[in-house]
Amino acid sequence: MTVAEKKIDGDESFEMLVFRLGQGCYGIPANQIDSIEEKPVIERAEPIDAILGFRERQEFKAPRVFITKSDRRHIMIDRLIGLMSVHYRDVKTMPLSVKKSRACDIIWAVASVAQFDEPVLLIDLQQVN
Amino acid sequence: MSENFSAQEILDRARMQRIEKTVDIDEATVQLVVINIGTDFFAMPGPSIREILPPMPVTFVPGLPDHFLGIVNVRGDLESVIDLAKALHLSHTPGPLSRIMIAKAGELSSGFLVDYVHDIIDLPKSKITSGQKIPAGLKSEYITGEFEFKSKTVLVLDIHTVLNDMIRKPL
Repeated sequence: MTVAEKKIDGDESFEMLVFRLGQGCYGIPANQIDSIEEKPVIERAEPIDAILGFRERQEFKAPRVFITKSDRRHIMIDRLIGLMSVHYRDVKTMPLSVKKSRACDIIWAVASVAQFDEPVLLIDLQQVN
Repeated sequence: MSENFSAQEILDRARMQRIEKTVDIDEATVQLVVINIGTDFFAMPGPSIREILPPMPVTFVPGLPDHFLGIVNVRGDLESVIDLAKALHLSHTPGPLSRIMIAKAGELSSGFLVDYVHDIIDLPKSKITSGQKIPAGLKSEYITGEFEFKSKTVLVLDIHTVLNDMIRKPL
């Protein structure tokens, strides 16, 4: 959808950086990211699986590192899919049972993206300590 | 020695027997969904079950307790899915007859993965007795009573206590 079309239907959307990890797909709002390193700087980057609370370490098949806008942390992600646009109406917040069960709210919602079959779990980097 | 009854006495006795056999329609009943986990039979209160769904893809969410399988999208609404066998410390093998039962307890709701849904029954409350045959490892607080169903003992689950306990369980 073009910017003009967004204005026509009056609907708000945002860009997110989508990547694969384990069996799932994850998205980080693009406005929370400063830049993506062309060459992974693995030694000083925190792996995203540890941040998300995976109990088993994930194998990083195609590591990339991005730098957060807020505190310039280096975070390592896997198998980058790319930037995708998602409408706010296609974002569903986590059910209360999940919110109450998690130690924190890093994964706050699930997005459905047009022409992309899998649900994307949305990460809020501002919740990362 | 056989007793001699008049025709009227025989009719009265027959009427009394019929009355005794008649089900008391005023007796309070409770609707229950009878389910199977492994070889154990359980029942959930019907009014707390919103929907029974066939097996569907469950999206894994990292950081949740082990008994949470993840989330499902039910016509646009997200619901968590709890493996009831894991939650109750029972062994089971999910198969094509497994179902996800969406249960509601107060402000909370969640799907529960069960092995098989037997039936939805209306049972007189008097048929439910206090739970005596609770399997080892199963918390007695989760059981509100038991009854006989097809020669099997069925334990009635307190879905409110189970759900609240599952959510508060530490990682």
